[in-house]
Amino acid sequence: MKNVRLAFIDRILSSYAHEVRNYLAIIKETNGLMKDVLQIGKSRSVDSKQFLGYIGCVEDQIARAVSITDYLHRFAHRMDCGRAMISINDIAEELTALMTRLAYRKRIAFEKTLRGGIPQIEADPMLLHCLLFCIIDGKISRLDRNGVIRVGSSLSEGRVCLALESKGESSKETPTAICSDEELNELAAEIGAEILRNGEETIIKLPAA
Amino acid sequence: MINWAKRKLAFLSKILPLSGPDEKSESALSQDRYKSLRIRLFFLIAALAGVPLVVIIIIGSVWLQGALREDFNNQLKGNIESTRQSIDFFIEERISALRFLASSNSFGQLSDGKYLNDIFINFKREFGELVDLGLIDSKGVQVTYSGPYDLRGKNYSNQDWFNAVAVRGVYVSDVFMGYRKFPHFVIAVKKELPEKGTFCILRATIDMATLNRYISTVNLKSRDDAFIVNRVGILQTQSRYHGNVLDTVNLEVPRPKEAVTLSEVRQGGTTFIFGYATIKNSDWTMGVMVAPTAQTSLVNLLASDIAAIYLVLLLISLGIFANIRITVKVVNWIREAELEREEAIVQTHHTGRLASIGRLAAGVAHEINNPLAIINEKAGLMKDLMQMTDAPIDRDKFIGLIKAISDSVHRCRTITHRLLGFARRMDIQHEEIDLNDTIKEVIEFLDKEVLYRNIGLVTRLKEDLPRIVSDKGQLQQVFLNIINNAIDAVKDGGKIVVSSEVKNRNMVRISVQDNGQGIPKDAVKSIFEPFYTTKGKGKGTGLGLSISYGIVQRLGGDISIESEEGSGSTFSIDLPIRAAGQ
Amino acid sequence: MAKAKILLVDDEVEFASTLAERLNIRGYETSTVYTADAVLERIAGNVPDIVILDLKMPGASGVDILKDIKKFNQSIEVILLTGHGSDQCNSECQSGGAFDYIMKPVEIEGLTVKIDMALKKKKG
Repeated sequence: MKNVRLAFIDRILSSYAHEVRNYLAIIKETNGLMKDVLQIGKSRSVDSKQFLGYIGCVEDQIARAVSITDYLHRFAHRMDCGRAMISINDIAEELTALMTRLAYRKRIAFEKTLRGGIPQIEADPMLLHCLLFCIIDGKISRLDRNGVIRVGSSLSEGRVCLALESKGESSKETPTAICSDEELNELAAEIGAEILRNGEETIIKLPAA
Repeated sequence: MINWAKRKLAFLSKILPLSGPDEKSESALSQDRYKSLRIRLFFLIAALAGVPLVVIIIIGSVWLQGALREDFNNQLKGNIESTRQSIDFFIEERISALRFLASSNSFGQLSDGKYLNDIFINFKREFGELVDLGLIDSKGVQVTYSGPYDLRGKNYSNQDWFNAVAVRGVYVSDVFMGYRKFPHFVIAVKKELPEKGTFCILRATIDMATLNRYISTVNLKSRDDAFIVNRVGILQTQSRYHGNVLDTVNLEVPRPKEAVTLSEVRQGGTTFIFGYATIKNSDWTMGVMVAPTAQTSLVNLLASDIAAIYLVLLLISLGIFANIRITVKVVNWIREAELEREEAIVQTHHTGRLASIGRLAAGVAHEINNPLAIINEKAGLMKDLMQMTDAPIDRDKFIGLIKAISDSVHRCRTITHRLLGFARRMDIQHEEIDLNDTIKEVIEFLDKEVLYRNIGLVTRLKEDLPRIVSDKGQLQQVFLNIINNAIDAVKDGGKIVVSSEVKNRNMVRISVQDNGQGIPKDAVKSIFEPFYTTKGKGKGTGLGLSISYGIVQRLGGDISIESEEGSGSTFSIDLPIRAAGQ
Repeated sequence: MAKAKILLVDDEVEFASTLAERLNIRGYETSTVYTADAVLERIAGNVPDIVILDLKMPGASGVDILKDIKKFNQSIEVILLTGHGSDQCNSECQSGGAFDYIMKPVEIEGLTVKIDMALKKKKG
């Protein structure tokens, strides 16, 4: 289980790093383009609208980099806080944001339906991240390109539920998830969560605090 | 779990040598060590349980032996007393009978041979064992005789028995051969003849068989001996060890004044119990020699009793079995406690590692914000210049702004590159690494903290330090831990020097020297122990140095410390140029 | 005439100088200081209306600098700059007497709104 946790963190940090690098690459290219426009087209006047467009693009990438860095910051601080009162929506938001790059490799998108007003749960956020990651990672590995993973939160019979459903073609390749079903169940037990599997849908149930 | 495992091991450490911080964690789990521990514990328990048991057995044996002996002695005494009484009674009865015959018959009647013969026949019929009966006058001459021999006219006046009976009135003789050449003894009674002013003696000869029969009633075994001796130690009956009748015994047979007396005598290499008692109305002493038997020796008693042997063997087997069971149980308990401790340390190591990864990730998030902020401002300024001023675009200025964006992008990339490098190294693996680069990367992670506290962190890294084959991820953790400790130890504005050098042809050395508070002398020796911390409560688990120590040991190296309170500390990490096992 | 005098305190030179330029374009008179120990000296020489102060400066705690500024001149309003907002940041803000805080990278429009609110408070 320790290896699963380390592997999960490895993937998250790598995913973040690659995602930010992606934004930086766009900034760099846009930046380079602006430089080219200024240096190469010295005789011509600068098209302000075009230039503002480039700047806008840079600003967009900055905003995305800042957003994901904020998620990293929150994720990092969860790693040493132990059991705490947490919001399942926050956990789902953070993790799906940090896994965007991982999912994007197969052009898989997240569709989130996170209901408001769901009570907090008491759990170890790092373990919950890990559990969620393992389930999503498993679904990504089983999906073919252009799939969708739906993430939805709800409250049912006093229990907070997070449903993860994969939609799309199944991959023909051998799944390469970091966590087996047995390890998943072990992790769920450690958190105090119940996992229900129904076809392509996996539901995590936790008692509301 | 950590505390329980710790307490168990602390208790056991007091009585058994267990692994300490100097031993590698692998040896704590080695089979050889547990085998050796089992053997030592087995003998320890055997000694602890066996010594008092042996003492109890000895004391018990001595007591039981004494009790057995006393019981036997009492039994023997009883037998001797019983036999003595029988012999006493026998003699007393014959004396009484003779006295009766003497008193109820006149001298004249007894002088009649036929009359005497009739009396003899009746006497013999009544009492048996009678050989002859005779009347002897005061001059010692046999007047009449009834028996198998012709003893009439025989003169006994010179014989001791005649004089003895003449004086005492009754006499029981020792066994003697006499005229008939076979051992017998005589009972004689004196009859006074007042009318003549003289006396006569009525004498009966008793068959030896009677005495022998009585002696044999003492409950004897094959090695035992019973006999009667007279006052001067001459056998009156046959003896197994001392000879035939009228032979002299070669041991002192005292005449006890009363009751049966027991002592020990040594005969033919064996110690016998010797019991003796006087026979009344005679000069005889009955002696009984009993060889040590099962009844007198506990060992013999047990040895002769198959059930007892079996029981003793069974008890010994049970004892050994119980010892083995206890030994196995205790060693398993120790092994479980050590495993628990190892598991707890590994778990805490893992948790610590996750926490340190968390801190690094948070650090990255903070750090990357700055260059992003710069890019944001540069791009924003370009936008402002284009939107909010009427001045024409200053190309050079814009190019300057673009360059600044580019520099910040590069800075972000460096940070993310470092993060990627760290993330990938979370599994143990061996690779060729440049220690100087590793140190620099770790220092970069701590840059902000060092700057923030104005700490002077200087590196003195040997330029051509040999590349080593080791686990970069684990070493990063060690360096991070040691340098972090140095940062915690120094005040704001303090100094830390990180250096690298070649120690010898097999080892390189990384040193981290600080001018902080130092570590007290008595704390230095415990500094690498799990859970030991000099930091205040709540500030650190005390496992960082212990874990670092373990990592370096596993990588084939060593950590040592020199410290002076008030001056600072130097941690030295020695690493092999080739990884352990390569 | 400038809307207000602003002193920008941040160890990141590129960031502070560029933001200062952007604020200048927007009509503020902005100067910059890049080290913690130069802050009071600069304030003494030329009292600003607003100080925009980075919370994490090398060699000094942003909260300590904030308290020193407030001790020097209570009327100077301080807006704290921070990498990530948190409850701790909020409490540090309030305990030191700062007007508000803003996160990096800075949303210039949001910053100018806070500057204007601080000025209003100062005049009010």
